[in-house]
Amino acid sequence: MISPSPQTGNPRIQQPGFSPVRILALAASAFTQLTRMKVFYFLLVFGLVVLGASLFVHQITDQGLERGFEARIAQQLKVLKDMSTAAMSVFASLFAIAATALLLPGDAESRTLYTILAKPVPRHEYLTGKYLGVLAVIIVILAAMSAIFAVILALQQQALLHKELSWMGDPDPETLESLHTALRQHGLNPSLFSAVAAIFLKAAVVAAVTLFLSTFASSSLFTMIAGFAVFVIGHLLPLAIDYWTQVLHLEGPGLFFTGVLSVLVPNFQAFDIVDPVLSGEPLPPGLLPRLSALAAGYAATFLLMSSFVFSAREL
Amino acid sequence: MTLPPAITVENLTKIYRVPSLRRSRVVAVDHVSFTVAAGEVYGLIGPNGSGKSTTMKALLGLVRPTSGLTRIFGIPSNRVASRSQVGFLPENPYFYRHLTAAETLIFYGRLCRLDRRLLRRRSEELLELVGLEEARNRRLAGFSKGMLQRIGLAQALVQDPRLLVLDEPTAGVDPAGSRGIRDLIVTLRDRGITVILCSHLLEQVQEVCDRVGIMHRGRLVREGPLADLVSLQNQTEVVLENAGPALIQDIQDLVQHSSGPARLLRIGNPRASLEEFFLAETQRQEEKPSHDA
Repeated sequence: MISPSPQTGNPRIQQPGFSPVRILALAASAFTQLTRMKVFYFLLVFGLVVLGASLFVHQITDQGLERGFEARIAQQLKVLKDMSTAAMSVFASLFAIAATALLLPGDAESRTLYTILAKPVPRHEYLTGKYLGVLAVIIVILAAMSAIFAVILALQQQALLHKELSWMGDPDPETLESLHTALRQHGLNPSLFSAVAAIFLKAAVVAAVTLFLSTFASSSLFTMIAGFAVFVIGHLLPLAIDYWTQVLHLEGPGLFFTGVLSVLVPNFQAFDIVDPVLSGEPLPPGLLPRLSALAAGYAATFLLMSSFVFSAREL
Repeated sequence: MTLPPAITVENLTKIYRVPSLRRSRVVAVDHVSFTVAAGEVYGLIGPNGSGKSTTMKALLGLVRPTSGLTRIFGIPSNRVASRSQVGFLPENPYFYRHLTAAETLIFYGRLCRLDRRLLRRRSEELLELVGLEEARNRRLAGFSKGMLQRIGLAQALVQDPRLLVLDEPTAGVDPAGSRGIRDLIVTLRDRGITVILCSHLLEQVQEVCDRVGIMHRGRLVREGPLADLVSLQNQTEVVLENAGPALIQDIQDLVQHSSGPARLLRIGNPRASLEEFFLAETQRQEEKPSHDA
């Protein structure tokens, strides 16, 4: 009979306190769980969307000969960028909702949560670990989608360059420089990666909101539906508030209700900085740090509220 | 200085509010008190819904008592530190299906902040201990109920706890595995580890527990050393081996002619339990040379 006493000696554990080791273990477990659930099929769909968009570019390429090359390039690449970034944004946010909704309610339904919380794991560390695991998968997915997007966009740029050169015949150096500048401005440039960073920040806030909902939800399905509802409301609310305050001139309780809603539901529209980027305009300086601070504020607030609710929850 | 008991349950009451229009309440545990000394094996038995699981959950800080308190080695259960020295195996455990057996043990070990290098050795030892060394790289999704129970036991032991809380540890395990778990509980007790065991298999509780508590409708109705609770104080058992009919007759005559109130209740062959018979028979078959050999 083997002795239950380890030959390694008794690895007595330390007092709990705050432990990055535990948080990392939980984050790694959530990451493995999500990646082994074949979530990367998302990428296949995304690849097809980008390829479809690039085929569309070819179809319209020959339709703008009467205009200048800069306008042609801007229009043709915008279609590809529009469809790709929209797909990235939707996939990242939907993934954030679905993945987060599966974690805590899934653990509670299967009672795996008992075995985890019966170890010296504070509940806030459990939530933080799960949240970081979801963020890690979102980063990997967005990086893969960005890579697919960048490769196809670069190939399209090359194809457009050759096509324009074939039409121009023998352009003078100034025209050639203008052509390259137009391609850089409307093609692959660092602003696009700022747009991807903004998409990540929005998905991070969506995941934090969904995590909060999952702390009192009874099932994964309810969490997903509620998360999606908040996601939609968060996009429409700024428009609705503008309408209520500027057109209907709400006062008293109506105004108070509007104020409460705007505090409770994150403004997801604030993260939609894609339009100016797609038009080739430079991003205002400091916009990305401001968005990062906003996302960190939302995420911290929802994580705190999640910890508060989850600490009081009976299992 | 006296060491605190491994488990202290003082006047524990847990009332669940049932969400309904009439705001009804369910008293799951009703003023339960008991202590388990360090090194004891304590059996908590009772019918379904008697409050055993709620008591265990309160002990592990998974539910908050309505009143009363629970402590583990003197530390209140609502403090995370109380769980540093506890291993818990829930009834019908379910672990991450995407992890392999070895990954599962490493995951739970990391939650206890065990060193990664030590943990790798520890997980190998535990897999061997519970007989899953061949399945170390298999994902839990393909595990049988008995195998899940065994990996559950291994994760409960991962940080070498001083207290083991086992809820139906042999549910779904075959007789040989069940015997192995019982042997392990005895070995753990010999090493000074405290065990609290919830089980419907009373024979199993009787075999390994020093003391038992019987719960019924949320209350602890009887509690004490097993020997005191189950022994029939006015009866005496004499077991003989190879006794012939003449000796049996002599004993019967002796009792009949004794002056006291003693009377002979029965004489016969004691029976082995079906489990003992099953284990002996399967062992014999294992040792028999194969016809194909």
